[in-house]
Amino acid sequence: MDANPTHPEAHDDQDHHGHDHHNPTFLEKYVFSTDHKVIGIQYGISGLVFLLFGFYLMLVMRFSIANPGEEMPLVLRMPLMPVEWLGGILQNLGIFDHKLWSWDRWAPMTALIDSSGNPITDATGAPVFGHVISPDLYNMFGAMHGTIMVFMGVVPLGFAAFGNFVTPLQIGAPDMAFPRLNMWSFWVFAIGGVIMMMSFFIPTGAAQAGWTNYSPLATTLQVDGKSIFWTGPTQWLLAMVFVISSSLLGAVNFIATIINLRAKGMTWMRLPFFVWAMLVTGFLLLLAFPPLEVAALMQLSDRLMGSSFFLPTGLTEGGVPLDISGGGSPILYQHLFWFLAHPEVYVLLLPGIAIVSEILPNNTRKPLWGYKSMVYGVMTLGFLSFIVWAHHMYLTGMGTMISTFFQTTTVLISVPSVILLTCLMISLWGGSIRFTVPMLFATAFLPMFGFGGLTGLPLAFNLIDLFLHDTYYVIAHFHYIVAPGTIFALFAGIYYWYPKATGRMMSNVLGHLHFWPSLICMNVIFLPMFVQGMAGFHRRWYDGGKFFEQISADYIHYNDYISIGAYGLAIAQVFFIVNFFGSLIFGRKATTDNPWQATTLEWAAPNKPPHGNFLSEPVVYRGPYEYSVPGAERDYTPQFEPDPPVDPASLPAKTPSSSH
Amino acid sequence: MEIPYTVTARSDTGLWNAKIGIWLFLASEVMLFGGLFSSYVYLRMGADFPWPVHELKVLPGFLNTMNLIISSVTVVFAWASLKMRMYTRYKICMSITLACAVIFMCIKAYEYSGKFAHYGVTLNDGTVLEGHPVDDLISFDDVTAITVTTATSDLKFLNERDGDDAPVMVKKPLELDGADAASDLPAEFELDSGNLRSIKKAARQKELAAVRLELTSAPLAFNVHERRQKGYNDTQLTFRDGTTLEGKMTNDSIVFGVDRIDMRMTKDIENSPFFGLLSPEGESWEEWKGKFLKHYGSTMDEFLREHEEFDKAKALENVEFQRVGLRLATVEPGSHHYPEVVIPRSEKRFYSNFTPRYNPYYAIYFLMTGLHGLHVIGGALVMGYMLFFNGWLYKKNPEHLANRVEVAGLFWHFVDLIWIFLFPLYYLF
Amino acid sequence: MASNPEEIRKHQKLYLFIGCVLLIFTGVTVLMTTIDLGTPGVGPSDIAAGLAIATFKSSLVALIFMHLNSEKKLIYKFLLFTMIFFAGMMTLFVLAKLDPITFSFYH
Repeated sequence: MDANPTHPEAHDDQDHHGHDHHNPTFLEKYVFSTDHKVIGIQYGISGLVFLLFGFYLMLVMRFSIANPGEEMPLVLRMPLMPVEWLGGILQNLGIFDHKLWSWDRWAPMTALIDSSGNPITDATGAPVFGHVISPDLYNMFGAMHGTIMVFMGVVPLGFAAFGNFVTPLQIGAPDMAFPRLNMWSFWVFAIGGVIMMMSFFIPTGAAQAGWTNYSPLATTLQVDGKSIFWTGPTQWLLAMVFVISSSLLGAVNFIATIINLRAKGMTWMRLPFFVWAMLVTGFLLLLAFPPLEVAALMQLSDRLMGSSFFLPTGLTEGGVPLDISGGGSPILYQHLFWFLAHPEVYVLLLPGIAIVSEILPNNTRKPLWGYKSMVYGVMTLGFLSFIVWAHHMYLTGMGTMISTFFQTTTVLISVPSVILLTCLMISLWGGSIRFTVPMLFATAFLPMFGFGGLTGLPLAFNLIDLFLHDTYYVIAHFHYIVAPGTIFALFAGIYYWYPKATGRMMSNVLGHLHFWPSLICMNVIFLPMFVQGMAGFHRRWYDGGKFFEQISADYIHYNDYISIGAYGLAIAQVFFIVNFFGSLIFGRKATTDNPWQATTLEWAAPNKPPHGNFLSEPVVYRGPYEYSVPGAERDYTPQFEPDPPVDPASLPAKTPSSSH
Repeated sequence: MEIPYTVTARSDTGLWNAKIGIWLFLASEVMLFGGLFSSYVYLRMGADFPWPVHELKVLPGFLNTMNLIISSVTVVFAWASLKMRMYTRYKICMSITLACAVIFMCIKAYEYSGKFAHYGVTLNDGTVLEGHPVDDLISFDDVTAITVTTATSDLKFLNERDGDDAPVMVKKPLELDGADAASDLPAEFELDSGNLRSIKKAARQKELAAVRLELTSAPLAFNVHERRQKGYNDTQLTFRDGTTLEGKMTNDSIVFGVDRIDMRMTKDIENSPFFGLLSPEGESWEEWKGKFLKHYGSTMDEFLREHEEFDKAKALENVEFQRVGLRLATVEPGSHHYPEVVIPRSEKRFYSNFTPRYNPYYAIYFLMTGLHGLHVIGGALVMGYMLFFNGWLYKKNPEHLANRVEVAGLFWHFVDLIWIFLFPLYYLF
Repeated sequence: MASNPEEIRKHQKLYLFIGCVLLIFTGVTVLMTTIDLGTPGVGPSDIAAGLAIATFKSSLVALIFMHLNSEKKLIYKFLLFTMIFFAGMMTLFVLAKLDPITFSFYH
């Protein structure tokens, strides 16, 4: 339906395999492009920007946790000061009734106290005032940190950016199956992102009910003001509807591409593991996101039209009965939400594993160990991820029978996860490892992900979860999977495919300066959280537990170390940002199209692949990871190279391609 | 390079791209409506209110079901015509399909508007009165001062005024003296949007959250819609935007024309305060009470005769008995005279028309049928595009157009398939 | 699925026939609600019978109109998994309301 000759992008296919792009305008080429590589990079940049912003929100929260009641440093206030200044002008012009952002409102001037709780006074004995982070700001940043990181940072970067850029190249396709749909999914996502960001600047501020947006809190919170539409939670839901729709379109496109556009000779068992993981991720998004869309629509209806899908009978607020019919169920929201949000965890994780499983064989110079078991493992993982969701809901008082069911499936799902991790670990064994920067991140992924996964096992058990639910233990567990896990893998992917996208290599020195502090700081941040969690620290304490001193006294000082780790992590990212942009101009030029001596098909395309990707139609002759094939001239035999005339008996017997 | 397999099928999968695409999309649609059907079951099983049964008129739903089935047949014929290269017949079939879609949406609009016009009041003891409001505005008179908030007030509340729209004159508030933005305001000025902006700006300069404005023109009278206000007492009324009126609350009763009484959730039927809400001009409620209790008693007797296994307590719990026995239609067929009842707002627990707000049954009914309606509109737009703008494609590559119609048809059949389940779930039981 | 014009010509009668069956069964569902099926009013048996007819009708639509009677294996695989997840969702939602001791449902 998409490539017919009346459309301009099909016309210029004929004449721009080289470097002269006269036909497409700037807008067509870089903004409303239908080229999967441009769209991938668009997703990648917006994903990285959202990651950075989500990280900033977290820094503000960390400051509030470690230094409650103390003055917020100027450097943390600075990022939003331009908005504050612009908002003042717009308000005076009468365009808005309110200031878009006001630190006086979200971090009001308050009498300061020192770390031991005594008021700070100046020389005359008068109290000193300063900007102090309000609980509302903490709640808002907390909710938006989760939302932005999960839905607008990691998923667009991991699935949409790498999936878009790499998948068609790896299967030897000229583009995605539906290029215009691909463009639409990016722009629908962009609309969602803009709405989400805009919600910070409306009078009520952005959503404050946590990234899960549970009803009835999310329905009844922040309803003041003259319009229920222009409130944080409503805008959050609206943005989510856009993001979900975008993901659905993207998932359809990915699966159709992988199924139908594989190059000649690219049989199923010759697909790189990356593509398999993308296929499974696509199915997770396709089938798990619609129930969240239902939940979002229902909650929108609850907020905008006053319905009671998630509001029980007799709900009161401050002792006053709410003017609602009641009769709905808050638990229904949790079911619909977690039906998505558990598979979503694997949507976050699988691109990470996918990238690592490309980088490991390339840098150990030996085939991926247990390719087939990984393929079946990832499929089992995808299947099981649909029937474990209620382990997030043990505290809702489900019956014991159903709790046991979900407990069992949750423990079961650790089996395929362990298969994946074990295969990756064993792949290291006996390899001649090159510690390039991507490989550093990829190897660090393994223990970090292992840590996150193993600490999740106790949470699977109903009884233990009742104690650990909503504590810092949970925070530490899933951040180990997503932050030093997935995000490290995503960094690895950026370093690895950067030469393909730009034609230049990223700096090695800056890469090392990025990696080592990041690794150390990540562990400084998240390891102490396990201890705090087991000591009963609740995740939503804006003062880090100061108010509950009887509980928290023994471990509250960990907050300081964690926050210092977070600031260190922020500094480490500066090297990445400099590297990312600097290498565009100053990076060493990649000497060949295959600078890492890799075997998969994307390295057959020229660097900065033209529209249509390959100069001639690629043909696949072998499996994806034929490194160090005995008898071969080099230590890698790319998929796209025809068989050299050698004696077939000397070919390896155990490679993934041998079955087909 | 052209993208392969847009028209012809790939040999090993046997499918062309769009066909995979549409089936994947339908799979996600199954999960979308699956989530809604699951929610329906969940809400219905967990309902702590009588789940409405046989609440919707069957005939429009029945016609719409027939309508969609016919359109499903015509869309499959449109595809078959293209495959046989009969372009005129394709156009006719497609046009019928589109006409069906339009009829479907018209019937839907008719059903929706009927529901929106219907209201229900739940009294504090659980009795539900259904019918049509005669007067449900809150009368607030003798307004001599208005307090506007710096942050949120606008002038929309003036639309709720009773009577003419003469200019509202106010005195310049003393507390704004000295603020630059208020310097060009005269001592007495009209409350319009420009002046309101100056007041708000001046108030911000003086760091005031709200400003009280005294009227110099004649006192105002307001008739305020329930949903526009945030709260009121005898001397004050606050709108949703924070603007507060000072005056006198004169009447906050709902005058309500009742066409059905539902006492399934009433705690003590014989002594419900509902029987005391006598309208001065209306019929005697003693008579109505007698009528209702008689109907209730005779239905119970008849029910117990027919179903020997039930005793009285069990009968009260039975859906069918509740439907007939505890709901009394008071309207004579063809008559537009409703007995009126005056309900002070202190007696009502909840008041709404039949929108998603009314109860979760209507909420999910409107959500599911509304979403289904959006699918109908979407499908009709796509098919309309193919009918009116894709003639060139038929000349160029008829097989490509046939493929497009097949994809649109698959979507259309799916929309029909969803309706086949929606119809019995909402209209029949 | 029929793809050559001759086969499609033959299939047209089938499409018409199925359309009529669907229309008739819609009428049957409506009539059925007026018949007492044992339990008074709208009992479980009415709902079961109504849903059975609806399932029958929708499978006709899916099999004949949507050509699922002769589709590629891949499509069946998609739909199989989708149906499993849908069924799982609905069943587990309901089961989560089940009290394991009294085997009644929470409100």
